This record gives sequence, structure tokens and C-alpha cells, in this order.
Amino acid sequence: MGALGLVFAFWGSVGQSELISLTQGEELARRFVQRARKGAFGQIAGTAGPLDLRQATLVDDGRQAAYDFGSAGVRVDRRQAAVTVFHESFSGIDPTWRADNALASNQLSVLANEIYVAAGFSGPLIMYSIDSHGRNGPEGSYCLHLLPTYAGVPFTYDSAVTIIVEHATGRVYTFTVWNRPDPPDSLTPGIGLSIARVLASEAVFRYRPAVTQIFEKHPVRLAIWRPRLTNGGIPDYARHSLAETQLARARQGKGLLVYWTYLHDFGSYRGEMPQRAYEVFLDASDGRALAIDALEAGQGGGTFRHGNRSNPFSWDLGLGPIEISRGRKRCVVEAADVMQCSAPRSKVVGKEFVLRRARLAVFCQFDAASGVLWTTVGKRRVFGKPNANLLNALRGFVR
Amino acid sequence: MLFVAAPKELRAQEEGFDPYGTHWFEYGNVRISAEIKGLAPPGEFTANMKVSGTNVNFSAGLLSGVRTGGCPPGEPCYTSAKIQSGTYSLKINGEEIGIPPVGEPSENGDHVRFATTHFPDGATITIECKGTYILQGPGLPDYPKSLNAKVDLKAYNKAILLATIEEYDPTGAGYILPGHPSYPDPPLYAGAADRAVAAVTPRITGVMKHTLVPGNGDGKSWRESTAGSPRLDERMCEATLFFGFTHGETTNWRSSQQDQLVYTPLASNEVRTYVTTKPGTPPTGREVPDYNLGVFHACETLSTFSSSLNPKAFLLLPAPWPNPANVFANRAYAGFAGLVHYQLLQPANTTLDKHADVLFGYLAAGERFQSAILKTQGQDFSQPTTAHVPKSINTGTAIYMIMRGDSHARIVKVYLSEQEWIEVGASVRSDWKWVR
Repeated sequence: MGALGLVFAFWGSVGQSELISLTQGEELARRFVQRARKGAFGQIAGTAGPLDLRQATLVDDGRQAAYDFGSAGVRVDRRQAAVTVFHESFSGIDPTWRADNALASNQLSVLANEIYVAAGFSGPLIMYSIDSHGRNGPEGSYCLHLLPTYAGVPFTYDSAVTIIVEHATGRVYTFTVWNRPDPPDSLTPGIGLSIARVLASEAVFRYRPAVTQIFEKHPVRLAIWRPRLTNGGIPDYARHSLAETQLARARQGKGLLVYWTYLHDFGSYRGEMPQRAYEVFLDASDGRALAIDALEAGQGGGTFRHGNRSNPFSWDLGLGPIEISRGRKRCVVEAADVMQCSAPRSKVVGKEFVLRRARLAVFCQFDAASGVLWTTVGKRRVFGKPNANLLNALRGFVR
Repeated sequence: MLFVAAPKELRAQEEGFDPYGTHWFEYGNVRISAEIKGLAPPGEFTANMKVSGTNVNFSAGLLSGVRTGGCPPGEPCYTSAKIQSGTYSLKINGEEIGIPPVGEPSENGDHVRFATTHFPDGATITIECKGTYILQGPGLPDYPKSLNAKVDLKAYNKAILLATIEEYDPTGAGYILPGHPSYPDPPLYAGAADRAVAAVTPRITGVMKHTLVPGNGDGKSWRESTAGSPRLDERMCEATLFFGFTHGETTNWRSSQQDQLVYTPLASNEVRTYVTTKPGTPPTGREVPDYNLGVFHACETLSTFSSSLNPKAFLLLPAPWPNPANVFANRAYAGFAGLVHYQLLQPANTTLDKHADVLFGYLAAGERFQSAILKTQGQDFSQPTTAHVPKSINTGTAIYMIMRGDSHARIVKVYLSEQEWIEVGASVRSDWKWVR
């Protein structure tokens, strides 16, 4: 222990029998640092000082203990017997990003799961998103965004695990586990994934009628979600329709089973960046939209030079399967295509539906008489002519 | 005999004050001096030299020595000389700075590091090195002599704060301003910028002891390159700390209602030009210390792989970064690599200005830059409570504020105090003194 200075800060009401001892916590912390240092290949790259404990501090009413090893620091949740926060500063590694040496996504996934187990957790992590090239951490680092799982069902990003690692060796800079709710009693949804995809898109089309094209940045998935609440216990979303019983669960730290997705307004792209995005949570039992979080223009720190306009929408989708849907009614048309065309001379009367090709959903109208469909971009209509397969399907669908 | 002795007596009393910060006597081939010499920035101090940051270094001490190589004919020629005893004190603005006030004079001098943010911007920092000594050596005078070296420096702590007033660009034709029919009430991002500057200003002008450059006000009125006043471009050459809460993209950030300040390419970018030159005809070079810190709560202001163009433009990163992997000591920069939303991912119901508020709270408490950022964002093991995590518009995931440069940079307290110096693995510097 050496120069250990133990600070009994906020030693509170938590029963000690529920918690691992400080010594056990220190052992866990030390093992974790040793594992984190070894990265993906079992060898320490860069500087690594001796793991002499400088200070251990009790925090959060004694539920957690913070261990300071000099260049490395670890926080242990004593109730979960697990590491929840770690960071280490090290040098001796060339931070220049080298694509040839960068770990591949499958290597990162294996590494993340090993680190997670070393932290004291179980259950596989699902890779949600990866930031490369030091975009979300030190120069030359990956930032891994991962979703913990319970019985195979992931938690939403509100309960994420983030790990920042050196890109070539996988040595860990930071490891952070966010709070997660207790899982719901049942993990069986009442509706299927295909319907959920349709309903999620339609929820945004209804919420923002100006949005007519949606790109699934993160596809719909079944997930465990605890609604984010303000200090006053109010859901913190642009729109929500959570029932009081669901809010009560959330306030007790319990999760709900939802379908969850992150969607871009495809029509709002400036270059590769969206100006509007929506996070949608559907009740997995019946598909009802429980909450929508809107990240819209004017709410971010981005700027765009004059002339850097939105990506123009164009039909000409290419031959392939297209899904058409309205509400819970849906069908998939194989070998479907839409070709760009000019507005018909006759007046068109449309019936609304959603057309989906891969991760793009388009809110359309179809005029059975003229056989054209269109979507609205701002105040402008963009017309398309479906091929024979799709035309037949649409005529039957909107009848 | 008298005629011969007189030159010897005259020589023994020769006294000088050159160079700046040195007071010396010579006795024949013996020189005794009190010296204060600047180390960082490198080179000798000059009178009323402006110094900035928490890493201002100098050496000071009483020194004695015998000139080797023989003596001029007819002058005393000593073989050894040593300060036998003496008193010695080192003060900054009359305040003892932590060195034992009385004791054996140092033959080697003391290395001292101090922070200009210990003093108000513009304050005269007077460093004094006083000593009284008795020389030891055959034929040397045995009566006490006093030496008094003195240096006057100026604390230079200047900040620019920028808060955008602009809101979204609904048509791609330009950002809308207050008064536009579509301007939100209250403004969302501009409102957060306003709150952020309001939150950090008292810290910057208070415990950080900075003053704002002329015309800064609440940071909302800047113009650049076009008509109007105050002109941000004309003031960027005067500051040593930049805090911006505005809009940005990979090549530029928005300075004002009319302009974007381009920071790429590095060879000829506006930011670098304004930072390194003083406006005029013809423009002259920057006349004050370089920037210590830049913090940008704005999209894509630290982005595009390893280029880090904006910090390079502010001279907070060396141009070859990251290859070779080096940094400027005590200089650092922070920004975001992607599109950051005004609302934080967590905690609920909290906006990006709170991130800035908390970050500057840690900086004002003397935290080092990397540590302050980690603690703000819940990535530090010792902070069990609230993490302030920004949200990426693009992916909906956490978008952390990231930093480049010297992770140990700080704005309050002294850069790498003795214990910290050891913690970072540097060799022990037992002869150094760290002042606050």
C-alpha cells in the first residue's frame, strides 16, 4: 500500500455486507489496469509506471471506491464488484494514425468484450458505433460505443459503455460504464421488427410533416430503455406519450422494452452531415411511439458555407426490393424500381404511403390513375415512375 | 606607490548592472553577481517584458567566480574566491516566494517558475534577488557588500470570448440573426452561447485574473473583415486565451454575423494571420506572448484526422504535429470533431453551456487541462457524480470534447508543480522552486 492515504469521504448508510471490501476493490482495480494496458495483443505498448496505490477514496456514500495508481485511475462500484470508470495517461506511442496498423472492427469487438469482462461484468457487448482517427479521444485513438445486453437484448445508448483505445495496439485510454436500469419482466415484444421499422419512420413523418425522407443511421432494434428524466421526474424528450405506469418504472430505475432507432432527415444533409435527426422509442408491446428526441437545425454548433446546399433528392433507385407500407399494412416488392420523371400534365390525386429501399424511407403519394408517385422536397414535388412490378403492387396496395 | 595603488582600488570597486537583471562587482579577476535570467520564454528578460501563462521560468542567485586565463598586468590576481556567508532573499512584488529567506547563498542559482495569473493583467511583477556577502580569499575585501538585482516584468493575461448570436440556416443562404421572422425566441444554440460566456466570464476575469481585449463586452458583437466594430480580427493578435461558443465546420468557424474565419489551409489561413500579425500598414508581427489556451464549443473545430488545423493556426500546436510527436509546453487546445448538439446527452435537461461552465470551473480551480476535460465529462475515476456528456447530431452518441497539445497545461496555479513534475515521470528537479 505504501503511501496509501485512505479518505473516508461520505461514508454513509450503505450496508457493508452488500459491498466488496476495499482490498477486494483494489485487487479488482489493479487486475483491470494490468489487462487494460495489454490492449489487443497482450503486450504493453508505451509507458507504464508501477502500480503503486497512491490513494484510495470512498465516494458516493461508500458505494464506490476510487483508486489512484499514479498514471492510472480506477473507480470500482463496490455493490456490482465491477470497474465503472478507468483512465490512464501514457506516452511512448507514435500517435500518427496508420491505416495499415489500425485494429479491425472485429478485433475491436473482441477487445472490448475482454475489457468488459475484466471490469467484472458479464454478457456480451454489442458494437454500436466507432469513431476513428482520434475524433473522440486522444490523437490516434478509436472511441468505441457499445451497448451492454441482458439475455441477448441490448440496452439503449443511455446505458452505453464507451472505451477509448490506441488504434494500433488497443491499449486503453478510458473506459466508462454508464448507469443501466433493471430489465423489464418480459423481453418478448408484441410486434415484429419489420412493423417496428415502419412505425418508427411514420412516427417522425407525423411529428415533422416537413420531413419526407428518412435515413436509418442506426437501424431499429429491440432494446431495454429507461426514459431520461429531469430532476423533477419529467421525461426529457421533444415529444413523449409515456403512461404514468411507465414513468413510475423509470423513476424506480427500471427499464421498458422498446424498439429504438436513430434516424436522419435525409433531405437535411449538407454534404455528409444531417441538419436534423430523430431518436425514436416505440413500445415493443404495441408499437406506440413513446418518445421522440429531435435534434434539429439551429440546435447545434455546425455551420455551412453559403452554397453548400442540401443533397438533392432523386428517384432512379435502381432495381431491387422495395417495401411499401401504410400503418401496419406492408408488402415487399422484389425487382422494383422508380425512375425520375416530370410532373404529369393531368391533375394528380395521391394516396399516402411509405416506400423503403434498404435504409432509406420516403414518404410518398401515389396517383393510381396516372401511375406516378411523388415526394415533397420543401415546396417542390419530385415525381417518379414505378416499374411494372411496383406499379401493380401500388395499385393493389392503395386500393 | 599611491599612483600604482589607485588603479587597483578602482578596479576592485567596479560595479555594473548589465545585462538586465544582473548586478555585479569585480575585484581584479573575481566577479560576484546577483543575477535574474529568463528561461521560458528563452533568452534574457528585458525591461517591462510582457510574460504570460503559468510556466514563466527564471533563474536567480548570487554567483561568484574567478576569471581564468591569467590577469592583466598590475591588477590583483586571485586564485580562488568564495561567498563566505551572506543573506539572500528572492521576492516577487515584495512577496517571499518560497525559498528559504536566509541561508547559504546559492552558487548555482535557483530556478523559479511562476504563473502570471497570480497577478492581475498588466501588473508589474518585480523580481528581486538581494544578497549580502563576505568574500573569502587571499587579499579579498573582508567587509560586507550588498548586491541587488531587480527585474520588472508585466503580467499579460488577455482573453477573447466569443458568443454567437446566430441561429440556423434554414435555406442555405445564410444564418439568421435576431430580428429575422424565423429567429427563435428564446434562441437555442445562440442562447446557450450567451449563457456559456456569461458563466465563464467571471472565472476568467476573476480567479484567472485575465482582462478581456478591448471591445469584447459579452462576446456577442464581434465583426470580422467587414465594416463594423468591434473587430475580432484586429483583436486576435492581443489575446492569450480564446473561448469560443459558436458554429464551425472542417475548414472554418464563424466569428460574426457576416464572416467565417477560415483555418485551412495552414499555410495561408485567416486565423493564423490574425493571430500572428498586428493590423496596420504594413502589418507587423505579434507583439505579445503567444496563446496559452484555446477552447471551442463549436462543431468540427478539432477535426479531420490528424490535421488539427485550428490549434495550429493559434500556434497552440507545432505545425508538424503529430509527427514528430511533440507539443509546446503549457499550451493546449480543445474542441469537437463532429456535429455537437446544444443539448447534452446527459444529464437530462442540460445544455452545452453547462459543459463550458463546469469545464472552466475545473480550470479555475487549477486543474490541468486534460484532467479538467475528463472530470467534466465523467471520464475521470475520481468524480463519482454528474458527467456532462455532449451529444453528436450525426450518430446520437457521445461526442467528447477532445484536446490537443500539452495535457498538463493550466491557467491557474503554476504549471507542473514539484509533485506533479514527479508524477509525470520527469527527473527530479531539486533546485527548482514552483511558485503557486
